[in-house]
Amino acid sequence: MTMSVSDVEIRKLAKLSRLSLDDEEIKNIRGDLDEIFEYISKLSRLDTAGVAEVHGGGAPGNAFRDDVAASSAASVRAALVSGLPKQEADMAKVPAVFTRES
Amino acid sequence: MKSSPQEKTTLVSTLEAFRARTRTPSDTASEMLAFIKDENDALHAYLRVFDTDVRAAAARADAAYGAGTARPLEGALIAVKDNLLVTGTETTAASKILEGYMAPYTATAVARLEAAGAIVLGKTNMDEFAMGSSTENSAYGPTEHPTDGRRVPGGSSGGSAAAVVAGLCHAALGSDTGGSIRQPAALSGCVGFKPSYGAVSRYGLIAMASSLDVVGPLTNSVADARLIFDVMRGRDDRDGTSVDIEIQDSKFKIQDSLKGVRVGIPQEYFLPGIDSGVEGAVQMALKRLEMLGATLVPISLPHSEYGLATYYVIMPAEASTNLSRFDGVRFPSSRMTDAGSLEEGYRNTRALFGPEVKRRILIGTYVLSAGYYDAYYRQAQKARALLIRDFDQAWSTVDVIAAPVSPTPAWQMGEKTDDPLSMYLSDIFTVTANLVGVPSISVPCGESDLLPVGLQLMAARGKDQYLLDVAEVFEKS
Repeated sequence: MTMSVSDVEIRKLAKLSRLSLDDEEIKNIRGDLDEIFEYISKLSRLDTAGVAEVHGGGAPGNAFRDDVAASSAASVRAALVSGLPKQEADMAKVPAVFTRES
Repeated sequence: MKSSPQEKTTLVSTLEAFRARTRTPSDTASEMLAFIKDENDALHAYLRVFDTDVRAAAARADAAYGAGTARPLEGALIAVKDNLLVTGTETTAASKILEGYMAPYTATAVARLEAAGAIVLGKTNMDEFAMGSSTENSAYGPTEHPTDGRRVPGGSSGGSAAAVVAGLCHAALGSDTGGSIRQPAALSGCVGFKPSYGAVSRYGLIAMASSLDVVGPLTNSVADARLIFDVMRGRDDRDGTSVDIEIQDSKFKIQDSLKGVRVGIPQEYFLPGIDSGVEGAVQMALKRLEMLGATLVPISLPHSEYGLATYYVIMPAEASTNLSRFDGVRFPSSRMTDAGSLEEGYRNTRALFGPEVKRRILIGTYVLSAGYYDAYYRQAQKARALLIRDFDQAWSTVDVIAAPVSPTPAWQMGEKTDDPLSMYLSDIFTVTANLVGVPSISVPCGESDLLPVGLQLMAARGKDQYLLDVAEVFEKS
């Protein structure tokens, strides 16, 4: 399963991750990723037939609490809102995603 | 570096002195703040110190001792890793992307310490978003090793470890996703305790890998670690994975022997390639355990060789997902405000991540993407099941497992920064405890060429107190 990651593939991963990498960064990261993927691909040698996946090392089962609505303190809410880069009427404001067709 | 007036003074003995009124919290705090001022420029253990607030809180602690209303940790000076939120103070996780972010609330672990009278002295340096093993990945510059300034203190909780060892706090908090408490504790020379997964609430901890992250103490003694842990632990409704860990009666008393304790020695953790000084110190530690009455039992954890590969699939997968929240919309970012489009704002904001964070986001995105999900992510989750099975089987024949913490002592600054895989390999003995969810502690056990070495002890999930008991008997021997 050893393979080399192509620049095209790295650009695609970067796009999916909303990271913009310049050519220099891609060059640097390519060698690192090749080495790391080579290392983690040793997992393919492990026989996992009949093994069920686990999602963590925590306590099995669910963690229940009483079905009561709880909300943060008003001061916390105010702090969260005031930390937003741009806001309008208690909401986060971002550049428009759609343009109106005239 | 000059010697701290409070170096190697334990939290327990400091609190005893407060109670006996032979020291006051405010004198202690003043002395500590002056010492930090002298030493932190070079050491760079702290990113921020809350001078004014600390003095005010210490004065209140003086009054509490005077009035006889002192709480269990009244006046204790605690350093907190900068990925734990403290209300109204800047919290960056050592990343440029969070520069200027003011925490809107306090992490449960910290809030419980404060409710017991502890004072947050400041926020400690770390690898950016806890991604690293040397604290060199901090966007604000590295922390020095507390006894050898040319070397790294370990990481990612390197600032906390350096602060404890240098005597710049009474105890510190860290987080451990794959060794980030235990490894810097071992490399710097203090105690580092990673509790069972879920034993301490993660609410207010900036998430790296949610199924692995645990908050825990770095301290000058095992008793100090227990004191901090006992205050922090327990179910928190704000963290659905937090649980009450069953508290077992202490089976041992200090100075007692370890008679009847079966210590498993996993053959997979004692392989060629370990630094000979580290190996020597750990072997001596095993002899000490035996002299204390413990029975050493050779065991096998057969899937150990897959532990690190499993970790470096699951951790980046969860981290890339968690870090998607840093998008320039929810946290301060002038780069979103200045952007022409939302997409451009995302990319420009996320350009503030450092190289290691970008690398792990890309790895995580890769192992979760269509075509690779089964080969990597699903396979890693099955490998995790096999690692859990290894440990479950071991507990039928042993009570604790002993192993090295790190294959080498502290390395030179810059030695591994250009070789991420070699940096990852330094986590080889610590990541499995996180994958399996068991408690694990690093206790100082000697030196390799004058550099500290730690012994790692692990116990079954939920047997945190038992593990601390064994570690304490070992430490006192």
